[in-house]
Amino acid sequence: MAAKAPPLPVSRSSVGAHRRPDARSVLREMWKHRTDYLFISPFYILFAVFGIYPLLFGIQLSLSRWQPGRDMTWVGLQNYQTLIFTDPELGRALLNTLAMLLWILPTGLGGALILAVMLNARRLAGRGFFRTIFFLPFVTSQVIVAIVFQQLLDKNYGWVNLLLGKIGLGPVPWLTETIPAQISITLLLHWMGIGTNVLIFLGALQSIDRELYEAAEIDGATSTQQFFNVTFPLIRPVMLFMVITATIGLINLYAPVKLLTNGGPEGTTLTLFMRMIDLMTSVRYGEGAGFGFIMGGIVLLITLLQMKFLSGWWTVEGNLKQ
Amino acid sequence: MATQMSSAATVPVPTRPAVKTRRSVNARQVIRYGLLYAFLIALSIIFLFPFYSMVIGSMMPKDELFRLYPVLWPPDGPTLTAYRLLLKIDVTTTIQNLERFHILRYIFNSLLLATVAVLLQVFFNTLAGYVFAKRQFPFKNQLFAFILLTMLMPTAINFVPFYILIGRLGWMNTYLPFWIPGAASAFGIFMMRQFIVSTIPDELIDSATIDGASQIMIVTRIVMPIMAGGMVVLGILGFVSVYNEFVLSSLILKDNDIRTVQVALANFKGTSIRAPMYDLMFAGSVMATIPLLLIFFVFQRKIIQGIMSGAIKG
Repeated sequence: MAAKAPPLPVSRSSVGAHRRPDARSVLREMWKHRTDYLFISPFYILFAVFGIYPLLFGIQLSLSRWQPGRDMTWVGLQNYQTLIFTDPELGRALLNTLAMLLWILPTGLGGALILAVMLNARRLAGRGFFRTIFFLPFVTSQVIVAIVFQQLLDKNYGWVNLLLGKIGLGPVPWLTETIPAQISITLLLHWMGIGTNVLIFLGALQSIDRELYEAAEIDGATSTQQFFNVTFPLIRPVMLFMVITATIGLINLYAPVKLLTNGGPEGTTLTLFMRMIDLMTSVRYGEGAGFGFIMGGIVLLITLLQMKFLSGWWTVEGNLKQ
Repeated sequence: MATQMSSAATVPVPTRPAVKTRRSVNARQVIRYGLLYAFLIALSIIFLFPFYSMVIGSMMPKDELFRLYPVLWPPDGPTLTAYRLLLKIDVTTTIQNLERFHILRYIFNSLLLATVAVLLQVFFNTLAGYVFAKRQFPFKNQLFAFILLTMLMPTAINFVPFYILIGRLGWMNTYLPFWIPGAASAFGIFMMRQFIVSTIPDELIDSATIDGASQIMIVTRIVMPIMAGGMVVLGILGFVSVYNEFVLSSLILKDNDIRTVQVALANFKGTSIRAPMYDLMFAGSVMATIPLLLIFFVFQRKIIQGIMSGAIKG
């Protein structure tokens, strides 16, 4: 409460009656709305303490060598040099993360869109039933899913290999070889998350006017043509939003990988976030903080690239929408 | 964009068109729908199978889980041994680590942690959401834009110093890191603002103001009762994500007595890499999932509509 008061006297004396005659009235207006500022203040206070302060501390930390209980020594860009040029893990984790992004992003969003289109079929009965089933994994945690999938994908005792064996495919070492391990992680994430994406797409699809399809049908458009000429242009803004949020989420991939493969085999599924946590738990705080900034830079760079290349997706094409 | 979508959603769009005489169902469509149902049913089975294997696995004797050919049903019928072992009901065991594994305690911890976190989140986000939805004051737009902008900040960028800060505050092995920093969030404020803008008429607030109601009275007596539905949606989504949280809790909650069920299960899993005690891990997983399943089935409609309306990104 008291924290809201200080700006008032300070600015009043500094701004004074000099240049802007309305400054005083703005301040009076602000004082009148002090409860409004009070009500929204928790966010800004918490963000300052737990967002901005760590950010600034992180800058200092990434330029220093420090361990708890010792003095902080300034080392300039040495941590970044170590991370980028000496330590092979950053490059490896970056490649793994990007590789998994390439597996997961198109199959996840594409699969969810196809499923949503199927569930949106006009005469489909039991839409709610299927929707619930695909969404049900929402209640499970990454820890529990990892436990269940570890058993399903077990090389010798798992169901997946038993079924593959039935059609004559040899046992696949799902968790102990690079590509199968990446596929396993992809499957796990899809099982957990596709239901949510289906729901978001379904919401977008259901806001499309059915008359558009009827008009397209009269014009003789096949359902594939309808999808590419009516559906897709109309949901592109939603798609772009989901591409960006999914990318950010996937770069922060941690728990499923940690619990399913622990970065193995031989570090080929190690993700960026896992590497950062490793640095942190081995008390290499300076490098850990630097790693965080590098990761943040990568996230922003990828997001900007996506926005640039998909910039046409922001808007709904033409005047299709009512 | 969410504004666009929610406004579009209020336009009455017939979800199922009235049966028209236009064209009778022809053979091609029958085949198409047949294939569609076949595909959806097959996929449903695949989606349900992990749940099935978890539940039935928790009721199988340990040996059955390590047969070369897994079975769908335990040959000697299901057993509750794993649950009895976890709950320590009239069984003595020599299994290492099990003695210190208190599943009910961990589930209670998780419920406590998530409940308090959610109550704080819902209260502060509704408060701020109301102000941004219905009040006019200097710098409102700039302040709101700032909130949206913070959503772009990558999680990783300050994760390590945040962790150090938690240590310096003496918050290790406490639930405060899960309650305080997230008590007001950009996402929650944004969502509640959208809900309130489209639900509560300005006249209602104005007349209450003219009647001399204070702002806090307007929020607690008028806004919150009307927004109960939206608050429940925000609360449930928050509850699920806090209850299932793993990264931060695995780093902060190290003491056995204070662990959440996720941390405890992950730790239990870690101690048995060589010969996983699947029966016990499955039984623990089933018990840990039950609270969320109950919430899910009670509020299913609300959760699904909340996510579909586009106001929410899970």
